[in-house]
Amino acid sequence: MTGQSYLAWAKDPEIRKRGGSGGFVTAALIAGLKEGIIDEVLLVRRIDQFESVPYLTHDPEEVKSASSPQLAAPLNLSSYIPRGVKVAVTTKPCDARAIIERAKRGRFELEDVYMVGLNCGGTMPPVSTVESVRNLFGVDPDTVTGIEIERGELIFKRDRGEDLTISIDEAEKKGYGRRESCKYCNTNIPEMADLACGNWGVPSDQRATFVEILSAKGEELFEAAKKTSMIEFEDATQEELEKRLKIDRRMRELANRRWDEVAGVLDERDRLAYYINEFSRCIHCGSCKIVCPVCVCEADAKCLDMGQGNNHYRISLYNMIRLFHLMDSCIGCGQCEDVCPVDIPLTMIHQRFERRMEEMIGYRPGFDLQKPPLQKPEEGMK
Amino acid sequence: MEFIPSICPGCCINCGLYIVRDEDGIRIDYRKSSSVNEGKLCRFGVELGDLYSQEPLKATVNGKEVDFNTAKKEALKRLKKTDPRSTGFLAMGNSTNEEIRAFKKLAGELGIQNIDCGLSKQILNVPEAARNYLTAGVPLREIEQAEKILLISFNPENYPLIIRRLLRAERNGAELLKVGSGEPYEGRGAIIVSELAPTSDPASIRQIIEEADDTATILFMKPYANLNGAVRLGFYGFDLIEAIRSDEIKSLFLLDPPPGYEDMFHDLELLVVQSDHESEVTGMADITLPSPRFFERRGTVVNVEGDVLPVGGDSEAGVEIPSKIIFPENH
Repeated sequence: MTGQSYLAWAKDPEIRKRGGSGGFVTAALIAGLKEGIIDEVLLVRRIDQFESVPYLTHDPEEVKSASSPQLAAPLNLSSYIPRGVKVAVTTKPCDARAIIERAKRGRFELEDVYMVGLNCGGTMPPVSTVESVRNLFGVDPDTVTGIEIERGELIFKRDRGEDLTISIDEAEKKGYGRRESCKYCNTNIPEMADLACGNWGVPSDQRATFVEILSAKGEELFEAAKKTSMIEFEDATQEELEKRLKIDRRMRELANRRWDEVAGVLDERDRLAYYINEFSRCIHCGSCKIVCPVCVCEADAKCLDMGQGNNHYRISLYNMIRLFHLMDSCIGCGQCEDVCPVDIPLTMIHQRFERRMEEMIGYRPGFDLQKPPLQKPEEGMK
Repeated sequence: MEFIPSICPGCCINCGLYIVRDEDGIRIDYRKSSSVNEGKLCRFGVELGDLYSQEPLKATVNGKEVDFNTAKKEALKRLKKTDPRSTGFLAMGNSTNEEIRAFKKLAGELGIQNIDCGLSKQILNVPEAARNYLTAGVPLREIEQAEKILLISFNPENYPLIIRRLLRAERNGAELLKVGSGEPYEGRGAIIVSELAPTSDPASIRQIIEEADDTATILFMKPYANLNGAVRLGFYGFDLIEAIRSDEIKSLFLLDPPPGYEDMFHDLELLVVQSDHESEVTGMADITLPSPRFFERRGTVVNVEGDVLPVGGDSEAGVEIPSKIIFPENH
């Protein structure tokens, strides 16, 4: 069954209506709990359209009433996975990649984590998204009840009044839209998760989730949903499969083009000057390390120990060590850049190193349990 | 895993953050929806979990642990015995508006007029009609859009969350000038950023206000969480810092003292301290009254942008302490 793709939806009309794309994900999570496959579900609790916090529950009713992950609340859930319990979590590709990297580093057993992957076209910074509603449409952001990106359009849904729509391109030209790291992220379908879910490929007149089963754990969840009669489904057609891949291909092309633009700001003859200039602003708050999902070092980390005081020349050892530490492990999730108080384009810089490593040795972090090459050099590797 | 939306008490920016409580203790998490800081924090904010994990203050009298009621009664007894002219109430802006209001009320009930948030010297040197400039809220986003920014005797490194606003302004083409104390400048149309702190030169503060015309915007950064609130609530009028140093003040009730002023309090005849954690100052106190940790308090502060922000908690104990001292029968 692994490798199979379906169009699926929740049987319960309420879940089908409330859940994203027909509520398959909610139904599968509830089925996982009911069947005892998982002990807990890691969800997000919505505070408003622009803010949510993670929480764990074992109560199917809470899963039922939980919200879909929010586009304008860019969390990386990997850091909240508990150790020693079977847990299901909805993951963007960067969540899933971070979970795999954290599992490699012994934070939990990957066998215990059921990743229900969600296609992702990018997330948005909450504050500038609030401003975009006000400045682009002259509308009170409190009236927004949902945010979606569909077919290149950014849509702010409202209970009262018409939806507000602008093309992503236009919004981004005006300085709004997705987080910078999302614009050049070229992993849109969470192929490293256990299930990949989304609405790409689903006919526009159908309220359903396109589900690809990617592992035995994914199969287990899908089977539980079938067994508990939580879902209805049908095989995905060739046309639907191709449509999904076409969207993915288009998203990758746009992301790669954006990466060329972003990475192109550096003068290749003097990259060092660029790095020195950017890192010179660092105030050593340590936030980039704290939020980095692939760094599991504690307070005795080398970057903290050696990065103290005057142990640096032009670029602090803190940043130098992190560059080397992450060059085979950065998954480009953008969390570091989100929290940098002096706007250092950290994700772009780390990605420049990581993508170069990837080209050189063919290793891509967060896709499987292979050890990062710099942690375990292969014989003969230069 | 409990997420409590709160704010950082490190300075007047009041960065939004979450306090996370779980089986491992207390730590912070990043609150990206907070408009003033967009989830970004300086080192103080990052390490706030350590501050909140400190040993909470206990009620004491003469260094001996007592129950809260005993400490409260003893505080009232001793404060009543003091000469109001040589007694002061000092709240340096580390408390909520509600706590400062209750504290001010207690001072009034005891007939004590010597109240100060640490800025009386600077505030009283500014004509009354112009004092609103001292606490005017300025959205930090405006800095990014400014054409000209003057940093007058101001070091942005003391307020790291300002740095990115200045960088963005420069990228947008702003002229950014650093001006030393007493140096001439042209402030027309500029955003003027300076610092109003207990150590600020009163003459410089007055000069900034007097020289600014209607086209300029003045932003006074302040080193403690709610000095804006304290000033707006009128918690000033007497330069207590100077009066303590000159021995004019013999007795002091100190609300949520910040670090850095320890040397002032050695020679007081009576020192009552209300605080949420043990410190060098609470170690000197004759009476200590424990209040909830900052994030646990129900109350508000006024931030740099002029917004009234909730602190995040639901405990009113910090407000009730002054009230219980003066009106014990109501509690």
